[in-house]
Amino acid sequence: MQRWLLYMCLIASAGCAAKLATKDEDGEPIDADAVQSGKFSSKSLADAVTETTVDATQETEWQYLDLDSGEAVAEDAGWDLAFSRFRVRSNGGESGDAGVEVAVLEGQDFEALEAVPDDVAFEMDRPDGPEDANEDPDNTFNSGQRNWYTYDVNTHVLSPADLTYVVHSSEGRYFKLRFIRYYSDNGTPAMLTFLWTELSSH
Amino acid sequence: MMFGSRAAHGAIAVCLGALLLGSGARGAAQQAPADVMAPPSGPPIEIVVTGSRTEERIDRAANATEVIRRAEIEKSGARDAAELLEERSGMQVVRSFRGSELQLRGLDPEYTLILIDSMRVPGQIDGAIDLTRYGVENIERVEIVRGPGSALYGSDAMGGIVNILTRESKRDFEADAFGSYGQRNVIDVSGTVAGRPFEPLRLQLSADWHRADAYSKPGEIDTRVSGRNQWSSGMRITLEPDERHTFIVRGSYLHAEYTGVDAAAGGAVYDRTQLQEQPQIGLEHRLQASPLVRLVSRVNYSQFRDQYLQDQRGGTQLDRYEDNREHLGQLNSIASFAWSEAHRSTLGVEELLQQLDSERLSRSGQRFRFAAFGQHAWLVYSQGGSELEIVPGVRLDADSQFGTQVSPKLALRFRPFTGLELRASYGRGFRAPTFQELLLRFENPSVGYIVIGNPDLGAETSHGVDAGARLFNELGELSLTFFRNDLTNMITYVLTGSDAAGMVFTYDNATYAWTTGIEAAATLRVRDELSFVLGYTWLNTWDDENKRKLQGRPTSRVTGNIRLAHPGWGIELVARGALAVGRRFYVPDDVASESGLGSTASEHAVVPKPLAQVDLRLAKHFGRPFELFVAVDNLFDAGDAYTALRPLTVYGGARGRY
Repeated sequence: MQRWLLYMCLIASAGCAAKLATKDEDGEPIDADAVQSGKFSSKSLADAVTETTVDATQETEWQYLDLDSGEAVAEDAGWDLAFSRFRVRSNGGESGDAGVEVAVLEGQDFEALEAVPDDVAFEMDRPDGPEDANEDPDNTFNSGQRNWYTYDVNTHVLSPADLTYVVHSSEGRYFKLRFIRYYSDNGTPAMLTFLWTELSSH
Repeated sequence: MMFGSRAAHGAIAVCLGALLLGSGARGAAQQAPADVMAPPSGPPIEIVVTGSRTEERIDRAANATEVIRRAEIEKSGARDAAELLEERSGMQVVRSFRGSELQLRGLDPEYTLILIDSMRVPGQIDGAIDLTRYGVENIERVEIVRGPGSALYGSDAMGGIVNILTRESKRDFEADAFGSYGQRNVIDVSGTVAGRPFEPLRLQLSADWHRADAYSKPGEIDTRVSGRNQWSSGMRITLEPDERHTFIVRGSYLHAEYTGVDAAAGGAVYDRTQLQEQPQIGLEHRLQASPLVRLVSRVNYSQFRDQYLQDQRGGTQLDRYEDNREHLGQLNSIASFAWSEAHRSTLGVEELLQQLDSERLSRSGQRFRFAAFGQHAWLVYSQGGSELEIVPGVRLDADSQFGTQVSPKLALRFRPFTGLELRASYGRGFRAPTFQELLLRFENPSVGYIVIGNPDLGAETSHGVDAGARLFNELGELSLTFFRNDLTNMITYVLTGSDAAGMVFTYDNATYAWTTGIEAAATLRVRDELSFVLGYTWLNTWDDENKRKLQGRPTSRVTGNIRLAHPGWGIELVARGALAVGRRFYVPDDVASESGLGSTASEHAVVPKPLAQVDLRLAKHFGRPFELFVAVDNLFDAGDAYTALRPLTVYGGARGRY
């Protein structure tokens, strides 16, 4: 009879194992040398270059950066670039009214670029074209023709393309910018890291 | 409204069962009371239950039935159903972190129906049942019917049926215990106690525990074979109040935990834990209404809970937890009529109620299915050991998700003389779309694509034929079988557009595939000292979606089983092996796409070295009650980047029985 009871108890309690739980861990490790501004974490490197990492992991929330101040800002506060996951916008044309425009240089050595080249073409964000499958505005960073990343459809890994960008900011200054990582040291995607610094105009 | 519909179906099932029983009883009254289902005088002929969903003599089964018996199971050294089947002809067990899945005749796992005691089991993961869940300690025998089985079983039986039948005690008291230990802490312990505490009751209790360390290749962080810690318990109560009625209550509970480490391509490292539970309880009633009429009714409830935890090392952003629960209720009534020596029929009704709760689904998945089926075996000609039998059958399924399906079949069995049998069959089959395919909402958080289920999916359909010959005598047998399966309306991913989160994929009935091949087997038995089984399967496949052969299928597969024994010394050596040649895998070219999401990957085919899996087991018997053994799994340390196998493992143990 006791065995019967044991079995009835086992069946009655079935499917009620304890819920699995993760180990207690903090979020992404914080770089002690970095300065935090909103979701942006920046630190200074040699030659006045800044390395910024943005936590762009939220799908529906854009993170806005003012290159002129180096600070995170609100959507209505003169931002230059905005980030959400792998998408990047600039505050001009279809995406905003601050007149920000961007040019791209292929195969350009980032360190060697000291001034805005004479022959680059700047573009503002434009309405979404038919080349890609999404409905975001197309721009120099993201379009059906070319993205700031290369995407491996087999491993679903994004890697920065060999591209250097020149951004003409909302305050009329020029910055060079290059993406160097899409993943954090822990492998978290959309922890976008880029180098940037101001250029002389021409 | 839904409840009313279910109640109506339930009433229909009960009424039809009663009708079948009543008509059977009347039929029996009109026939001479000879038990034509029983074997003729002489040595007992094995009874099988899978091919026609009722008891029948194996030599009368229109669909050839392969049986793995208890004695063979014990001698094999296999610890679970996956190990038991992986070295059988025409079968391939594919192992991944999700478990061990069976490919029969080159078809994906979702096209082979896995049954436990003739009932479906819940817990398909990506369409497949993990066979490592089922330890061999409680298996009495396994019946394998190759070829389309939807005419009797409905969905998922397009490639065949594997029916795992649990142990059934026949003695007044018996008990056995088993224990083994091997490298990497591979531990298996099991025990069964059965007896007849009082008439007319028989009681059987069993429990088992299995564990094994996770395995990683030196220098790799990824786990190649998950760690396992599993226990289960079961009971079976049989009540035989008189000669006509038998009641069987079965109950079991399974608790399995799998652990491993995964390294993602983006650099993240995860500790993965899966905790699976499967309670099940069922009642079976067998009624011998008359010598010629038999009715078996079953009601069964089972649940499968799968907790999945992905714990990112050094971070929380990619932590993921899922708690999936599937409920499966089944009710069936199957009547078999032996009208005369020349005519036998099976008629049945079946109901299925399934529910899946998962955070991955856009809503809880529910389906109800009613089915009626029947087949008739007509012995057209029988004289002097020569027989010709025709077996037509048909099944109608009405499903709340995909509507109705009609699955006909026709099988022929011809025995020109004793010692040669020819069999051929054709069947139409189908596979119901899974809840995942109907209701999934999955988003890749890193790069922005979404997969959304399609509630308008129809069932996949198939046509299957096989034809074979079997030549046999007391020493052994030779068999040769040709088969072909054509799968149409296959469900696959299609791109539908995009939304704010990225590209959107869904499922559609949009492609087809086929498999064809030849199975050959030779069996030789030389008294008790030597037996020898050699099998060969040639396989060809086509995947029309990708315009290539199906991945991972060997073009040639050789299987062997040799048993050498010295009865006087009580020594027995069993070697089992499988050699897979011509497996083809498709790997991406080392080129990253410049054009962003949705690009088509370029890839090339790789044919790795042949895979040779060999297991050895040496046992010393001390009469029936006790046995010691030592064994080697995976003698040649087979396994490569495409096939994750536990490396060479030496283990030993003992079995005692009373």
